[in-house]
Amino acid sequence: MLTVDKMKEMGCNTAEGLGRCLNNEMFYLNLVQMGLKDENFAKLEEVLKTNDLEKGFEVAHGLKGVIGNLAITPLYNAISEITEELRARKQIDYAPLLAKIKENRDKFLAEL
Amino acid sequence: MNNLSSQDIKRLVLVVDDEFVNREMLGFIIRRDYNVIYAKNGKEALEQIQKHKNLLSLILLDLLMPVMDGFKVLQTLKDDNELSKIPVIVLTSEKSAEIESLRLGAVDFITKPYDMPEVILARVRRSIELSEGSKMIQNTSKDELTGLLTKDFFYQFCERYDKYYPDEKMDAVAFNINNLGLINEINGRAYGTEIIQKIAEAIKVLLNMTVGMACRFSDTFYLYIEHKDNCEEILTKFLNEFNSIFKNSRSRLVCGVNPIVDKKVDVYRRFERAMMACNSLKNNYNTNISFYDAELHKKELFENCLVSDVETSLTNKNFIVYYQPKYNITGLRPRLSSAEALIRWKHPEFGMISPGVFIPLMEENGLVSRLDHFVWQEAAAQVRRWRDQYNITIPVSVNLSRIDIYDPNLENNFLKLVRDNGLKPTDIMLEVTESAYTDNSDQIIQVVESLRSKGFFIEMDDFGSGYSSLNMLSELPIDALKLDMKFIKNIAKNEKALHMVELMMEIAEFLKVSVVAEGVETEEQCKLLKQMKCDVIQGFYFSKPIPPEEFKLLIEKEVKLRDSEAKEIGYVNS
Repeated sequence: MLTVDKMKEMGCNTAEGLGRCLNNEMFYLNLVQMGLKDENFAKLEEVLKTNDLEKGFEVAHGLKGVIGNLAITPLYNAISEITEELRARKQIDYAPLLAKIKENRDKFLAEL
Repeated sequence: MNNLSSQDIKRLVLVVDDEFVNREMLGFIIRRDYNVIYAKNGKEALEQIQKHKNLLSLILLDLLMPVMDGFKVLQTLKDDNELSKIPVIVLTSEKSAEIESLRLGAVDFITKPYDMPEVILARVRRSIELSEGSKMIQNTSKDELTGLLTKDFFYQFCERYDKYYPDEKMDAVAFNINNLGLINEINGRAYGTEIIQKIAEAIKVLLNMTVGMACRFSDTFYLYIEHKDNCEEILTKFLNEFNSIFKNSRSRLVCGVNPIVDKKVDVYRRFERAMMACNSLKNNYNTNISFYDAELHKKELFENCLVSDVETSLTNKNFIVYYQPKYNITGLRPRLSSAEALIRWKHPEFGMISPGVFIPLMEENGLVSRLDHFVWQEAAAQVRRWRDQYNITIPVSVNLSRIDIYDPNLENNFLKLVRDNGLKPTDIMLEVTESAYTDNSDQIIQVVESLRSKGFFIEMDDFGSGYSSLNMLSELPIDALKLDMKFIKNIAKNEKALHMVELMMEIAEFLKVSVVAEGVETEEQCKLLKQMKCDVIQGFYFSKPIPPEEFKLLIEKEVKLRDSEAKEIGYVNS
């Protein structure tokens, strides 16, 4: 079961995330669970398969906002990286960046 | 929720974000202080905005959203005169979007990831405050003396409260301190102020036990409170506790309640109704609380009808001036010396309406001034007609209402009136009630002194009912005291009443002014007053107020009397 302590151990800035939830742990952890299961993770993979960078940026940008608010720092960093590349509409291979996101996300999902 | 102010009413905030987590988190932060509604894209947002446009205090708007983005929402709001007044804070992590958002009318930004909740709340609060101009409101919304709201803001808050809680059953309550002027006169103004503050504090305690707000103006308090089935019990207890401080005095705190207000009726009217109930207690000392009910509602409708008919009735000459003669009783025979002009209303629908019904009503809304001017004009013209017809001057006294005293043209109006009718100021006598003197002695003394200096004769009306102090009386510029008719009523039956009038006669003697006794109905009363050296008598004993065509018979009689006297003197001299 994912706990605040565990998240902290995994490198999350839980003080910030929890603070945004007025230090209500249960509420915070519920949101974290929802954030990790956000359908935009799958959508991002999908749109990048079609090389739609504009849409890709929109989706990544949305995810960055959610994960940033939840202060899931390692995942946030990975999403920020891909968002910046997409913002510049760079024609690069996004697979490694997607993999990095997946790797980080899976670690947290495994804890749920 | 306790004593509500503009700060306390929960405002409505719309959170627009396509991400559930972001919406929930932001809503969670502000929910304690605001009512929150949500939309997950621009289209939904515009629907919510249209639906709640009258209530919405702020929109928190994400920019990048599916279906319709935040820019489109901002543009739509900007283009709409009404909606553009709702402040918008943009939620963004994009610096580049800020300029465009400002151009489109955003008032502030909240960055993502979100700042700490305190920062967000401060930004939300500030944006709403700025939008509502609440800094200005804060400075003028409180009554300095009590800390309660001022009347204007109270009404605004009531209206706002209704918007937020349209289904809440509310009572409009009016408290009034009867005879505060008397308290000020007897115990000093500081004591009167202390009483007002004590009542205000007690009202604050009362508000702590319920939901509501209160204001104070002059000697009246208004409360807008959540209805409770036992409200009569609560308010009666409040009144009983408070009225103990008025022991042995004619002052008291009374309460009128408009229970479960009709929200279709505007807020001012709701409190007028509470006040009507309150005023209905004026001569009822058995209870201190009254409720607006069907009977009062009927009275209200009747009074509204009267008020709206005044102008038409003036045009159609439905108002008539009657004259009640005043007889000088200092000589061997009572002699017609003057008259009092009294207005009568022959209403086309309701028939003859007593001035006791319509004058207080017109005093409330200032229309009495219109009626006064009408009477003054008619009376002056009548004095002129009698002089032309009978070669005799019968001075007529007219009433000055409180509101007339504040008219800067009062003196000029009277001077013009006598000039236009070829009269002298001494031909018009002015009656000012004693209570008007006690209400605002400085102003009235100034006005009356000036009128006297121009030659007008001033009578203090209803003397004995206005609680003047002897000290004050000695300083008042008056020419005659008119004894209130209730003192005359029992002089033939009751020793105490007789002594009371004797005392008043002594006061008049001390002040070196003449005395007019009103309400004299019997020969016995007349005899007693003559013995007490009363100068002039007015009352049913001689005549009720009568129209000019009847009054002329009294004049003809007086003219005959003068003629025969002149003949007698001529006979003696020859």
